Amino acid sequence: MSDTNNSQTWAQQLGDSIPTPMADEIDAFETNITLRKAGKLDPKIFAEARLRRGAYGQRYDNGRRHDGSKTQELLYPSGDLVKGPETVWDAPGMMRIKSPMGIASNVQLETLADLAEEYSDSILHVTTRQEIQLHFVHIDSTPDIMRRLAAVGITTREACGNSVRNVTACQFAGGCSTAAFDVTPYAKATTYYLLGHKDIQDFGRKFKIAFSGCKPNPCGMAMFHDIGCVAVTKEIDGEVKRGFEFFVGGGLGAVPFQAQLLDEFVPEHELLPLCQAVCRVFSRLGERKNRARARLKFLVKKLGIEEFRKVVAEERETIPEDERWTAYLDDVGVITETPLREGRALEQSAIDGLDDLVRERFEYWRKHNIWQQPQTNYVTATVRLPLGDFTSRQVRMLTDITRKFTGDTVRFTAEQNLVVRHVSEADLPDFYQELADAGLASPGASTIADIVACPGTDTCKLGISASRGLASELEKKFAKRLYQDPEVENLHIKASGCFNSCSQHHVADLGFLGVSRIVDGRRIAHFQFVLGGQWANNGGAYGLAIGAYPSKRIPEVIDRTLAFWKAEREEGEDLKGFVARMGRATIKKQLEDLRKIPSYEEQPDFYTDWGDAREYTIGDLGTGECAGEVVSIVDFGLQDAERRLFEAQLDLEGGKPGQASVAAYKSMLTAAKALIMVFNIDIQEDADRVVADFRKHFHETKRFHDPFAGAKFANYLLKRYENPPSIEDDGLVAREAIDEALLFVEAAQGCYQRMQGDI
Amino acid sequence: MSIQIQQVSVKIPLASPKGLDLDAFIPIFHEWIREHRIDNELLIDVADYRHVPNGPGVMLIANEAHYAMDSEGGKAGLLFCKRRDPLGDPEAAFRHALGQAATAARLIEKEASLEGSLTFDTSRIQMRVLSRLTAPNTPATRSALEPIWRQLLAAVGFSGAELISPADSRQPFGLAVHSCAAAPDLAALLTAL
Ligand code: SF4
Repeated sequence: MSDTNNSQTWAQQLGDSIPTPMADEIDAFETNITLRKAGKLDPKIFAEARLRRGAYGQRYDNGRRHDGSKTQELLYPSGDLVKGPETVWDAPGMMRIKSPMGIASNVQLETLADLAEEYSDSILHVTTRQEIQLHFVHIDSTPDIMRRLAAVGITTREACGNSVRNVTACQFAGGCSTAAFDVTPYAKATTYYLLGHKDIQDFGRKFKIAFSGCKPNPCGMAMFHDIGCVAVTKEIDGEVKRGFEFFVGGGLGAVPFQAQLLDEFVPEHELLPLCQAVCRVFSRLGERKNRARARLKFLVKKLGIEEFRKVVAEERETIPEDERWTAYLDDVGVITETPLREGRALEQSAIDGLDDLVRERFEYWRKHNIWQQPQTNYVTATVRLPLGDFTSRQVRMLTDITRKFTGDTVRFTAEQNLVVRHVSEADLPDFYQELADAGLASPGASTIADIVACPGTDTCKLGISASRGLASELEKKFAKRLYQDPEVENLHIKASGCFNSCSQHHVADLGFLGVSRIVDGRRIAHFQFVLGGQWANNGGAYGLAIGAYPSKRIPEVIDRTLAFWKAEREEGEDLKGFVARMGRATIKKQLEDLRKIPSYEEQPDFYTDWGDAREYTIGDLGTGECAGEVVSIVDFGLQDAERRLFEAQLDLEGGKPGQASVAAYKSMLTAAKALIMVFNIDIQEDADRVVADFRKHFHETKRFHDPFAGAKFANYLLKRYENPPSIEDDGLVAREAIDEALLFVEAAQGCYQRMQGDI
Repeated sequence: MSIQIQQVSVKIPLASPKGLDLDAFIPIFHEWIREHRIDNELLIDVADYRHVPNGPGVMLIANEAHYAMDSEGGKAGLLFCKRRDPLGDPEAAFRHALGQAATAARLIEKEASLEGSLTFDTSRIQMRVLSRLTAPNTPATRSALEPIWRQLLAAVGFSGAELISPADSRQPFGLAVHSCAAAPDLAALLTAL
């Protein structure tokens, strides 16, 4: 055989098509693989190295899996070899692939399709950060994957780990009438300026940047990013200048923070140096030891925005001039994405000519999946991807469609869909039909049926509940178009498998995050219900935690909530306004009976989660890698305590001191419970048990004692336990309860760190 | 030098997809993991892709391969796909993939909870070679691999098989039995392997 490549490797085959610096980096990574296999590279260091190249762990890679009745050992062939703490070498993992601003060309898409087919399960998964993940990939395959991606201009560098993650931007940028201007070139310049930059190599945690073309629409989500840039123009000396409203310190996770305004107008030439200055400040002053407090939001909070602004301004002055700060500005305004076909209007006669069933489907698809562009007779079409998934075969059908109708690019969206831009309106019926033939014409984009879900228990090591299983169930329910009410139709549902918030549930109208509860000695999957968040205004407000409900009751929770809203809302009142007016307690009362759990004998399926036949357990939880390193179940519990504390503060600010007082106490119990899990994984919520175990393992052993304050913080919990808070507590009592809880949770963090030998 | 290949998949279509209820495969595949139903495979998890139109349906993930009740192209069947393999001899890779697919299909035919509702049609069997480095979808690959696949099919009881290959060079190279004079049933196929 003359033209087979038996003796060639991908590195040889691709040769010069991989830019030299990328080829060198990938070779270096491959060397790390060799060193690790030879036992010459520490597993923790290798873990951070692979994370920085996008190679992530996946559920069951610790070599254990609960099969519903017992935990089975998964005897991977590599034996004791690990690719990180508790991460077996041979266990399949996840590959995260960056696509800045969600942009992918036809050739890039086709390469992704090939890789999914050869090394993964033929599924491309779109994430809420507008990038692609492949699952069940072996670490030994990753260098070739990286090479094949590099050959088409894609990098996985800094896709995970403590680095600047995929820079996101509105998917409509350049085709949107509300945008001040197209943010694409600025987001692109920021991406490539910071990629691999020395100033971002020493972060304590990850760092996320987003660009938005305008303030009111949600697409860019600037308000919950470490840096959020919103395009604005300003008249200076009679000339209209471009710039950005520059926000810092936003973030979701267990303790969500809205970003704060650092500067109301950063001129375009100052964008990159200012981003760099913020990164340098984060690198220098950000928290290191306590990973739960290491995101930029905590630094901004600690310093206060005024001080932070001052520190950043000082830092900016020290950075040496770099020509790349402005070099790209020459190309701004050069249109790189031009329509393939002439823009023509869609005639009604073309729609009337469709057969009845097709016409009905087409019209419904067009109602939600089409976005009118400012360019006359062009639209952007959203290809809705259920749960963000599509197959290699669908990718090839899609690129046939884009080559025929629009050109060379698509953009992935934060709602786990993709958009095809510059479709001539007259082509819509044919375009729709070809999408339908590819199984890509799901209607209802950005409606209540278009549910966002993180991987959850399907593949994530930290998943507590089946967010994808729940989303799938809800999609089926809402696909039936049960709600003709446009106010309901336009709501958003997002489901996270745990409170790390990867689905961005805080900004959903109806948000869910996975938790678990023990009832009568059996663990049951639940979701915490977060109601009334705001997707608009760049994710402008966070929802209110209502309570935890059994996973299997969530469809009823939604029905009940929506029915209550529809019955009681005032004229024109949206869900967010309704929640604010009604208050948490009233809504919670409406849902009270849905917290009840039928007995195991009565309804055994209640004790499984959606899409899973196994009896529910959290025994599969592993060590997470979101933070670049270890995130244990104890970290989780401590983060949950912080979330409860945050809610207590909200209650106090909202004039509900009694609730605040109770929530503050609960946050202490949650933190104590998290610590107890080191000794007793099945510790229950019950205060008596938590306090008894806390006394036994932490108080009497002096393990919790502060090196300086002794038993002081432990006594806060014990005192509250003896004299529990009441819903009647006034503001003064609540304030004191919150202050004590703050110190207690902080002490719990310190205690856990001491136990790990960190300090 | 003769061609060497890595990842191979084999799909055995259902005789009648009408009886297919994908929901049933969630507990079935979980049970296969619990009971270690496939001897030479480290079974890890069940992946649920029922929401993907004409997609892989429900998937049983093994360490180096996966099995799916797959509906790609609207054709439902049992897919076995090797994700990871060293470069090797095509005959051995084909034999292995065919054997794994037939084993899983036979387990499904015998699955008590399905009460015999699903049977497979071996006369439309499909094979793909996913490793594009050594086996791109070209005429040269076809002329190198088709004789080997044909020989294996003949050895396990197929006769008069007409084979077709995907025309789109972006797709992996493959050979699907389009028609044949005789095909073994699953039991015979497994015995012959
Ligand atoms: S929210 Fe939790 S379960 Fe979901 S992907 Fe993030 S870490 Fe995993």
